[in-house]
Amino acid sequence: MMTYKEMAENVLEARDRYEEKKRRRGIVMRRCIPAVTGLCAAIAAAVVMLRPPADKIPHEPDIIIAETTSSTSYTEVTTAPSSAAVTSSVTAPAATATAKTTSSEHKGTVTTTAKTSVKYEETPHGETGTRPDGKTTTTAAGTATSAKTTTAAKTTTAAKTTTAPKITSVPKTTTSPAGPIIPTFTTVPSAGGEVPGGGELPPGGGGAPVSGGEPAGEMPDRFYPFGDLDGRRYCAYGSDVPADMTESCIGSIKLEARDPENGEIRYMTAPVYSITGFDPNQIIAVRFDEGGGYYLYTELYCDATVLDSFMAEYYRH
Amino acid sequence: MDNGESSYRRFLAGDDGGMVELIRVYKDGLIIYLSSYTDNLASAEDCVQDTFIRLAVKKPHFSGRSTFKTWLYTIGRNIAIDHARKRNRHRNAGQEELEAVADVSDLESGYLVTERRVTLYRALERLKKEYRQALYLTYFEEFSATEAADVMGKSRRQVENLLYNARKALRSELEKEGFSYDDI
Repeated sequence: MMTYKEMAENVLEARDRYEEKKRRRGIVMRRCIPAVTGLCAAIAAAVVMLRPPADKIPHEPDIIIAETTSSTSYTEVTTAPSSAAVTSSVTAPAATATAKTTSSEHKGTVTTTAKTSVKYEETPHGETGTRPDGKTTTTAAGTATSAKTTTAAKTTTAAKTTTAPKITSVPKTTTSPAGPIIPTFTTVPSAGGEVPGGGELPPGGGGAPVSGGEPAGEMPDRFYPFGDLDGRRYCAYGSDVPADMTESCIGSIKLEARDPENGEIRYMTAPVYSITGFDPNQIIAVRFDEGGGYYLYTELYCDATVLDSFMAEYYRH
Repeated sequence: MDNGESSYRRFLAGDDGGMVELIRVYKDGLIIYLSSYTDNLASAEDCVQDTFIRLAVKKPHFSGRSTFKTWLYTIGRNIAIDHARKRNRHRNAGQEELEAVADVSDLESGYLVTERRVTLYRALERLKKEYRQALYLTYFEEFSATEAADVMGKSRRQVENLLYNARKALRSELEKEGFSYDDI
């Protein structure tokens, strides 16, 4: 056990060591501070020199908030049965529709009251585009007469994404002002045609574009004409065949269909055309009106691959 | 004597004799007190030396809110606690116990002096640490309960409770050895 003198010596010696260490540290700091200060100044100067001028600093891009609107457009086309009066109204500013009517009378064995041709040019249904002002526009398309087409405009600025068939059909119609979309066409298909049952038959069959571009085959309860040609039975498929896909007339087909309203069977005869690149035993084009469109009819047991090939060809046109 | 405040001021003024005087007066008592924290006198002696080195090197300011002795013992206690904490990480009990045996006899002969104080100190060693600390500060170092509370980092009320229980325990220990508490 150390005495108080020994402890005092140790304490004072420790104090002296600490003082010496502190003095040396102070000397080092006094020497280093100018050097460190100079180094910091040099670094700061270098940073200032290397920094790009303030006017060359790129600004953040302005944030542009695209105005999007969600609107619903209603297009109603009403055609008077005996005149060329067509009322087309577009309530939504983004939707445009063009309706042209022509009126003509057909003469034939079947009494015809009127024919109304409604054309929507370059307006595939459901097409969505962008207006120059950046707003979204939707163009309602359809060939329905007395049809009420409701199209909800989508607020996307994407370009056209669907390709619907270009509709240039010439439906022959009489219209009802409202109610369900049931075609009540009165048609005179061609001279010499015969409709024993007071025939009134839609040319395109169930899939004919009579109600705003509804695809074929989805309305089996409507007119669904079928008929025989060279011992084979054909039925309406619905798609209209582009004129440049058709070839020569290969005969005529007698069609029949049941009127969904009254159950009455109706008949008609129409010329048949072969389709380029396809076997007429599988698919044919039927033309109901001279100068009108061609409608696709398929053999009852038509191979699905043939239809796929046709549709591929169809969309190429 | 002002409990060492004037000696400390002399040391701060540059007179090393002031520090020597402080060490002479407080060294042994501080060792005994701190031994209750370190469990042996050698470590307690190191703690006491560290306490005075801190005074000499850091030169802490003595505000005068307590007596100088209380302030010094508080510094010593904090250092002893730090030391004990470090020692728990690097325990080498065998050697320290051997050293403690020799050191106790030195202290008994030098600081405790009288047979009665030696008897009392030995009895204290068998008590709980806190009892020992409270009794030592009040009996041997003659601190008041308030000062002992400052040194131990407790409230006055806690120290009074400690002292009450410590006296009961001490009475029991002394009676085991044939002494009477009242005599001491």
